[in-house]
Amino acid sequence: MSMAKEFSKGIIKDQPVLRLLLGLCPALGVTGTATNGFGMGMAATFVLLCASIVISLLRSVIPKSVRVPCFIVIIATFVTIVDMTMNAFLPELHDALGIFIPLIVVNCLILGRAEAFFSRNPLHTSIADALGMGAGFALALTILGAIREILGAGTIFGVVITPEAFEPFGVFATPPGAFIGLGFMLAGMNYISKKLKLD
Amino acid sequence: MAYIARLTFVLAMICIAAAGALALTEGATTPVIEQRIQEELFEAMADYVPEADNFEEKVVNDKTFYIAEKGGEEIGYIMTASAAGYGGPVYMNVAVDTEGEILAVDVDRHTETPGIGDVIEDEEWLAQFDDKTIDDEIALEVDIDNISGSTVTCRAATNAVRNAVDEIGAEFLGLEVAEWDLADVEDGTYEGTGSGFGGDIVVEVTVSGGEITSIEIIEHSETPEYFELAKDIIPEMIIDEQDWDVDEASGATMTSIGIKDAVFDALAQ
Repeated sequence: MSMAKEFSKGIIKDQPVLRLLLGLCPALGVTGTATNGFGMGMAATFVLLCASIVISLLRSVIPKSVRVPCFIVIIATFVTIVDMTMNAFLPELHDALGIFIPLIVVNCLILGRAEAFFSRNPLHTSIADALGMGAGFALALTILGAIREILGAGTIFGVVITPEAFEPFGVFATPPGAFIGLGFMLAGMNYISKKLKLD
Repeated sequence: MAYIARLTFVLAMICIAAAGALALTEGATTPVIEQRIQEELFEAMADYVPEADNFEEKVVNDKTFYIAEKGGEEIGYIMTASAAGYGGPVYMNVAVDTEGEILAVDVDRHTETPGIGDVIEDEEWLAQFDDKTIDDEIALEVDIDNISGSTVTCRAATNAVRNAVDEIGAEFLGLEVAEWDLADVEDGTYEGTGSGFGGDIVVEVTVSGGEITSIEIIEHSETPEYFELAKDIIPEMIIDEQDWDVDEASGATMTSIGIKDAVFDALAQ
């Protein structure tokens, strides 16, 4: 498979949130605004990318029976690095994402890709896969965040875009709104999948 | 055996490399984080007391006050105090000048419901505190307007401001605060008020022979099923321990605090 194909499968065909249904906790938890969704997506992409490089390079060294602890240590290290770096240089985003940053460690998406892809493929395809999955994850979270922000607060990326008469639906700013928004996105994705005959 | 040794070796190597990477990152980020927290604190305080040229930290009984100084003279006092809200404590920053007038009130942090409890961040609502002094009541629906639909959070924010003003008053401005000393209480029946989840709770406390002998709740507007959880156990514990500061009944924390505060209010002098 070509690298372009490895990358683009993460956006539509194997879209992590909407097709594989991986990483749903952060998708529901931090998508109150488009900025938070995008920030979470970028943090996860960084971890995916670093994990893909290290795991793919070490794939012949890591013995099969201890691969999961090895993956977890590697992933946890990068997550902690992201957490500390974000706390130092992007404090507002760090406050907004809160507990969901450390929880990237147990994000099924990252461990899933480590197990299914990075540990079985050479460096360049692993990187393409990581970037594609990360982009797909970030895209889904940003769209869900944007929908919730527009409906729940009348803004997007913090900029007011709705007319003054628009009364925000408070429910979209709260967790139930995340479920409702994700439900509609999944329905839309299923429709697109049928049209494109992806299954 | 060699196989096990190899597993151990690989895992150990990966962990050592991870520890090294983390140590490096921590070394690089910790000073930045600490400096930022300090700067944010000072920036916020400079906002509250713009004339000040220096802020001194003072810690008394685990409470941290900041003294705003100008040319070496004290011109104001700042502290963060909390009160129980709907989703946990609501923390408010309060600055008071040397005359006891409130200079600034701001929300420090809270975990109230977004879209419902965060109305306390509204500047217009916070502005109500600006002309208050240490001698005002600072109580919700007395001299602070409620925001309908967010009563619990508004009361928490108001009580937190009240607590901060009381602490600063007691520490720096010679305000007399009520103290709990049963030995000083004469026999008799005392009435006190505390605020629970639904509003004021009024109790009647009877003291005889230097001991609390009965506590009766004579007025409340708590939710009945939660009130049930606290109404007997809290007075019983207070009478048992002869102290107002007992554990709260689980599931009815706000009501418990209301009853405890009411007992304190009745007997403290």
